[in-house]
Amino acid sequence: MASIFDEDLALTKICGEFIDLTDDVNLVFCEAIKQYMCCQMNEYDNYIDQIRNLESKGDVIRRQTESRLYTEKLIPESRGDLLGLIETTDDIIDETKNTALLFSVEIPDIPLELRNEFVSLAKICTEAVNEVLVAFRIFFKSPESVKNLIQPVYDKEKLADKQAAKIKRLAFLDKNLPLSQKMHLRYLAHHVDCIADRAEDLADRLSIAAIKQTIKA
Amino acid sequence: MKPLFGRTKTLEQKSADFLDVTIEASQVLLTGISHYLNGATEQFEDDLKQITVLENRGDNLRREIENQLYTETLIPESRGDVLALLENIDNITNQCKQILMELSVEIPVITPEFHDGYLHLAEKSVKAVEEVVSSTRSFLNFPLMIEHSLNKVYFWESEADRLSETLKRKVFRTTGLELSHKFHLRYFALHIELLADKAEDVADRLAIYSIKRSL
Repeated sequence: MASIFDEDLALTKICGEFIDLTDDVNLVFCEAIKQYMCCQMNEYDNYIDQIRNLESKGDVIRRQTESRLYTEKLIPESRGDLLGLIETTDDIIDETKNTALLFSVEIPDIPLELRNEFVSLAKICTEAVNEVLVAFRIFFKSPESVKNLIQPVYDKEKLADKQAAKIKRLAFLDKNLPLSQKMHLRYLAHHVDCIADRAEDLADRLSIAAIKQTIKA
Repeated sequence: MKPLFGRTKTLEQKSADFLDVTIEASQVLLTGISHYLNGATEQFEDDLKQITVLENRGDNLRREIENQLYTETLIPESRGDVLALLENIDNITNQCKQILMELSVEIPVITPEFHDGYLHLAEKSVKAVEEVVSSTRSFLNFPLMIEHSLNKVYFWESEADRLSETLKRKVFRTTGLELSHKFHLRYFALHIELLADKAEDVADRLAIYSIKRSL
């Protein structure tokens, strides 16, 4: 099947760069959380700087792409879908950056027994994002393949919900923790889990956009 | 490029009034935060009353404009964009009121060491609002000017982000504060910062609409 970008290779290239950048943010985030849980704060801060830079670059690429979609009257019939996909991908970057910043700003005290649980949660969310980015890339070349590729995103998102619930349960069952610290841990688990929710949002949009492309073809 | 409302003068006037309300609400917000921090409770409650009146007036104007756009079939090609724009601008006024309402309900204890942080954050967020209102006026009347003012919205929004982060860092590094108190202070910083985010949302829409209009 023909791609919606067959006639515009430059735009395909920009979108590819945007996906690469989201992938980088995702990988850096997971490494950053591992470092935080090992109390390697210098390493953690370096990762935060990387995420900030990537996010700013992402905003520039997003605005350029949006402007290009309109000014050059490209693929008018698919323009709205593509805009939505780009904005939802940008939401993943924003959520990841904001969550990474929470740890840096609020320096939460994570009990030893919960540290690996947080690392597991971050890994699951990273996997969810990775899966949806694979589907997004394929969408440009073969929209009919998207359907099979997004199911793992939903599976990972459910797994992330479970892992976040586990952390919250463990925190609230701990009789030695003050209520405010339990609330802090719940808040952090919720925010990390939200990254998988944003991946799910993108999967939902991709699924609809892919169906529309398939029908058109 | 022609003004968006062309010959529909009442609509032009109502939109100008609606934007004035947004600006006024942002100014009352600034005064309200300042009164709250200085412990001027009576003046603060007056500010809250004033912003509630403004918010209601904004809602009424928005509905009148929306009704007029549809019942008189005005600017059909841009109607959807204008509606979405108005609703997003209305979110700014709502957020201004929400911040003062939350201060009034939750009466957070903000010690003097954080006063400047909150005031500066509020000032930057309000600057983002002022610029986006100016961009919207350009969009409606002089579209060629819009790009320059949109850039300023993004600048003040990122300034608000930066100041909010600095304030929250200071809060979480202050010894002697209960963790729950830190959460409370973070919550208010976040909500003032959100005002600038809402201005940015309007700017993003304006950027796309102005490209569409120029084609």
